[in-house]
Amino acid sequence: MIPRHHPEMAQLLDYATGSAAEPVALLIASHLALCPACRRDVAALDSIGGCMLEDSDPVPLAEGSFERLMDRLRGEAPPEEPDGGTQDEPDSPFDPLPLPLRRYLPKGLRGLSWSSLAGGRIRIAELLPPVGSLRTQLVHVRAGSSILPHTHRGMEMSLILSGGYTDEYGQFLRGDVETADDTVTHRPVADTGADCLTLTLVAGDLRFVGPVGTLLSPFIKS
Amino acid sequence: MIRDRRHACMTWLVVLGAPDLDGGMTTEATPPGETARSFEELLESVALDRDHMAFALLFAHFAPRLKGYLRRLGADDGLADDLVQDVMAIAWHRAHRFDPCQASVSTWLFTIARNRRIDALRRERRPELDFNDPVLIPDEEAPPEQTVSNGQEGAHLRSAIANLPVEQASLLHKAYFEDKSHSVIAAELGLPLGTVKSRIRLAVERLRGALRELR
Ligand SMILES: [Zn+2]
Repeated sequence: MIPRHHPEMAQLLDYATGSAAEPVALLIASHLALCPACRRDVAALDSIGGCMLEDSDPVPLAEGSFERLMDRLRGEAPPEEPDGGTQDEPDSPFDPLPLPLRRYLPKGLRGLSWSSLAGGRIRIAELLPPVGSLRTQLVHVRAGSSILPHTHRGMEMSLILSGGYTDEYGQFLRGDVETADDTVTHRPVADTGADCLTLTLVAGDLRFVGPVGTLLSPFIKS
Repeated sequence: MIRDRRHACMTWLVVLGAPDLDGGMTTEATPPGETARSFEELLESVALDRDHMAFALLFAHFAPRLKGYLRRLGADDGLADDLVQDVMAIAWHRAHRFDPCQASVSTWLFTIARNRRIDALRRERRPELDFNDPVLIPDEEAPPEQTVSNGQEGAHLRSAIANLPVEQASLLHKAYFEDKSHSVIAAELGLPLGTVKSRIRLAVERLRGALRELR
């Protein structure tokens, strides 16, 4: 299945140039595993980078640089290959996770510290320490449950890893990316049939809309 | 054995009077009796034969450019030298993983330098796609059959970039050389975010079109 909702080209550009913050890069690298179309875009963006490198004005190196490098290489063991991440958890209810994400989960999903909300219908784990106001979370919503209508003080970006949800903007399934900002109000409802797992980046607090939402816990059962 | 080959290599570089390997080498020296090899072929020799001569040629061409790239992105002179050493060391060790169907040598080195810079300057990890990921959804569009050489791709893409409207080209230069995200660039230029996003999309679609013509 090919994703239908993608990061914006400008976000892929930030990923390719290296200016994207680590959480955003993690989300995009994980999307790339599931999205051949964005892989082609990023390959083109990398080629532009190669061209920029080729066009860079050469700057003279310190004297003896090549000799120094060859001396170093003679004594240096090859670096380790990048690790294969954790193995799949055989009893996990979710689809297997993309490798870039698994590299952040040395003890698997179970090794994270999850907080339960709405009587266990929603569980949230922080994957990384916050970067500024940007938090990196795994969000597990039970099939059929929903998150109250909300808007955002900053960006919210989600990659669907397993299951799916539907909001005012459409249905989002494994591999899809939804980006929202302070102009967007939405009420995601997890599809019935399977639990939904997302990698979600949130900058700033969610702002809940309506008299009920402002009084209650942000996450309630549907 | 390896020493001998290296000496042979250094010898012909000297014989040819090639500018020193540490400076901004402007000519691409070719050993006597050998036709010029593409960067891809040189890197393949490094991977298969640990060919010091081929590596010296790659170093002579790319190391000063890598330094130029890293200097523009904020590394001071000494740090840029160190990072160039790291990048070329990684290239030496990972040469066997270079796939000319995926990228040209300059593109491959760009990605190594970018990741090394994030690691060293920002002290962040760089999450990367892994083509061996078991969950990878394969690309149904036929992959390119023949490889695109550095020279072909570079020349084609360079002329496509040169033909971009100036406001699109300058956005790309800022993005690749100033370590600025598109939203920072928009703020600096006083442009609406939507304008910057659409310029980026137009520019990349045009360049992708140019690359497709090649394959
Ligand atoms: Zn995509």
